[in-house]
Amino acid sequence: MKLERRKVPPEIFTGSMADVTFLLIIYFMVTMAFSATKGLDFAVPKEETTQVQLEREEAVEVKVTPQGTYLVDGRPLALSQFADYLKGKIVPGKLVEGKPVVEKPVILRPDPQAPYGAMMDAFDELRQVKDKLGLARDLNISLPTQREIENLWGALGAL
Amino acid sequence: MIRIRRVGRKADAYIPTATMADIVFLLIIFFIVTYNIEVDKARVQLPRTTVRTDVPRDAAYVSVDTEGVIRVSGGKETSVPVATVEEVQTFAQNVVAQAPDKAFVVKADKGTRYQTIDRVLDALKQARVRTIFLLSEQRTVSDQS
Repeated sequence: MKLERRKVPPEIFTGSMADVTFLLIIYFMVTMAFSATKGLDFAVPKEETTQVQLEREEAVEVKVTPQGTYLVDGRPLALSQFADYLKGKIVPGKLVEGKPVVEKPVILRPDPQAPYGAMMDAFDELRQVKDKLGLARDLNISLPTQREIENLWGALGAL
Repeated sequence: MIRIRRVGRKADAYIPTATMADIVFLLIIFFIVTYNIEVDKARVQLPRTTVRTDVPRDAAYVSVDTEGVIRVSGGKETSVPVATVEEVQTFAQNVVAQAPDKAFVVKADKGTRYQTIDRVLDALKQARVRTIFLLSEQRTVSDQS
């Protein structure tokens, strides 16, 4: 007697693979952190540049008060007025690649009691001045720490 | 009358699932590529800025939360709280000694008094950190109005 062999069609089961991959997706979605990965960068000035910063009257000083308002060279200004004020600091007649430049460094000095957010708003606004005024290069913004300011005054007092 | 009989193979009811696996794999690849491990779990309200630059993936973190608690992380491990700012400096010095070009990210709540941030920045500057990022969120049009 001849036995008939039942033919099984060749097949790879992919149904369970979809389950596994769905589980993986759920894992990634649950553990995914939508954290901020961007911020304002600033390069820490090198030791040599401290000599340049000694000329205090040559710089534009932006103070942040404890109330979160701003004093630019002693005058109370709103954030939106920063660009206009700095327009007056453009070096007359000097063009770099056909664009004006502001050579005066800008010193950002927040009060110890000032909110960090207010300082960041001012920093952000100063970083935008280049585009707002169509300047050739970014403003030279420095953010000296309290210790650096004290050291500077110490150095000036010793002179 | 001619009777028409349907001749031919009967199609089996079947849902093709092979392509679904492809889609799911694409989704997995997307999640793996965009996955970033959050080294610092401190919940803070970040300041909002218009100018933003990408922070390097392996950057070290210093976070200051609303209560003034400072946490540090070398970029791979979960952040740990430190008691004083001097410890931040020691930590940064160790990190810089191993990788002199390591970027540091300062993640702080926008309501924090600048005094604390100033001391943190001073500690990083003293440790000869070259690049510092101040973590922020995107400022939108509604924020400006």
